[in-house]
Amino acid sequence: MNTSNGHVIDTQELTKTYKGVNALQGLSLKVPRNSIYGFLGPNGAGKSTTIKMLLGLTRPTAGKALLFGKDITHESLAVRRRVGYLAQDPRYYEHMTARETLRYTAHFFYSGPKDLIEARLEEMLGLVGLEDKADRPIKGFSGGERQRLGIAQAQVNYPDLLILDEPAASLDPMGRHDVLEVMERLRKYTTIFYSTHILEDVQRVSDRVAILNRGRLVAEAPTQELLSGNGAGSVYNLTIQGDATHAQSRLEGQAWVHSLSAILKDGLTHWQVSVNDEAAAEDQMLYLILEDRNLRVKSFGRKTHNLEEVFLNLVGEEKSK
Amino acid sequence: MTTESKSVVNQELILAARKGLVPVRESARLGGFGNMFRKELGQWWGTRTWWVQTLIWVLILNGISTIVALTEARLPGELLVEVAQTFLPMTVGAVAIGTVIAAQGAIVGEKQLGTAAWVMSKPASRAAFILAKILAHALGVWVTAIIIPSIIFVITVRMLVPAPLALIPFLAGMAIAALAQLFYLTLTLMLGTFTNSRGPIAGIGIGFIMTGLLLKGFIPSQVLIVTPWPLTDVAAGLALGTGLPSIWPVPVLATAFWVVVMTSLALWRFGREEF
Repeated sequence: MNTSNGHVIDTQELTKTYKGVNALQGLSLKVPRNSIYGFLGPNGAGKSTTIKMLLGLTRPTAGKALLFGKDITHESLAVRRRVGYLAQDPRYYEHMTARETLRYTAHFFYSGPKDLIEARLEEMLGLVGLEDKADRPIKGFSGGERQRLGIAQAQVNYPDLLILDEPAASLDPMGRHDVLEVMERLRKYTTIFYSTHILEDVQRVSDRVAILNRGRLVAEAPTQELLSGNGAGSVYNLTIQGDATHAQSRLEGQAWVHSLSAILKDGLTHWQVSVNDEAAAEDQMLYLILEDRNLRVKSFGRKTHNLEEVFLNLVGEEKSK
Repeated sequence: MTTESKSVVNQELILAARKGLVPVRESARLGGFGNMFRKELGQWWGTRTWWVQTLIWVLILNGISTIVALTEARLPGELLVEVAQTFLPMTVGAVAIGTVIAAQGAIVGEKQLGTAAWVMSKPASRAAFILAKILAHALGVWVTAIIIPSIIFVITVRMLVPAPLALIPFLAGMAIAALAQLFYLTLTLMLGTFTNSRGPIAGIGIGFIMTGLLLKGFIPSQVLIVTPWPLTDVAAGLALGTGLPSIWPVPVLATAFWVVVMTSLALWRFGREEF
């Protein structure tokens, strides 16, 4: 696959301004091949604007973006041959049936043979569970059925990159589950770049996450890294039995300890130690505590955040600026 | 079969199927044209649109000219002129109103519904999107409102009017009517690329037609000859071989020029559309 240094998407200072309002400001992202990349942000953060620029539906005001190493502005058609896209509110020709819609989509990519194209349509209808509604006009479809059709049409061309704008937003919990399962299944064939505001979904399936707020990128990291503190300092939780006063003083005297909070509960001391050097912490912390022979460490571990916490912290910090 | 081996088999099947599919080969400039053109034709000929349009135009154009042929008591030659001068101006003027109405939502509707954005997310060029619409709508209007009524007109005249109708000049007159419809079609589609509501499109399009019909006599001839308004007289003059304005090629060439200009404007504006 021809990519920009192994990255399927590579944006450099991508900017979009609408009538003097900055919808997106200097976005630089690199999406690795075969990853599921979650693109998070509140409404109006610039997620859909970014996606539309990647697809050539709107032009960047400044900056550039490469998909498979090709420029999105000058080689848009070649880019779109390798992309599958599901819009946030997918719209199709209402008079067409689901099968006709898929056939119409397929003919943008393939000229034949007819039987193989029809087989591919059948496969896609089966994948999203629309076989029994395949020949009904779309105008009678529910929101969930349209979304399923959207997923099917986005995959009809075996895309190297699947761009999904809020793919599970209008689905019930079962539908959401199905969509996430399809995404996980497709990981080995394609790269998935998707925007969402459902943090639980991102945490479940994404390898990497970018958080966008008011048109600016506020965080970008592998999901696990983001959940464990994203380099802004790690936090360790410890439960200690015994009088930990001296151990606390020793720890607070270390240069790598940023802060330490202690709570006494049920005869045990619960510490939350924020550090700025993980290696030093993991190397020395337990030794420093266990210098007191009467202390027992009942539990020790790095604190993991949930994505909602991380998201709210990051977006909150931006708001207060 | 384990999940692992199932997925391996599935992957192999997918790759095998993918190998057999033949990619579309089209230039980047006209990417997706064939597919979009077929879809546009399908909307004319795969639905009831074509016979509803045909019925309307046969009833209006052939109905009125047949009534004239049946009720006017004149010499055969005069009757032929009377019938042709009823039929031909209508194929320019009345059909033009129909063309504007039929095409007013072709682009705006797709922009409003979001289907244009969906199509443009596929490997389809914006130029191909516009050209497919122009060509498919032109064929639709020409066949349903000009070709079929003209065939019926020729048959009717042969049956009801004792004077002979020269076929080649008549075809030349109909070609002028077809050019006039192409003008109103490109005008309507061009307006659709500039606005997001149907009101201004219908208003400007029909307003332009009515201006020509009602105010033609008040417009300076230097202006008039570079508009499609004299095409009514040109079509009738060519078909009947009488009353043809001496400068008749000027409005014909001017109209063809405007068609090219309006198509270019539509391509330029739609190329800059932000979805």
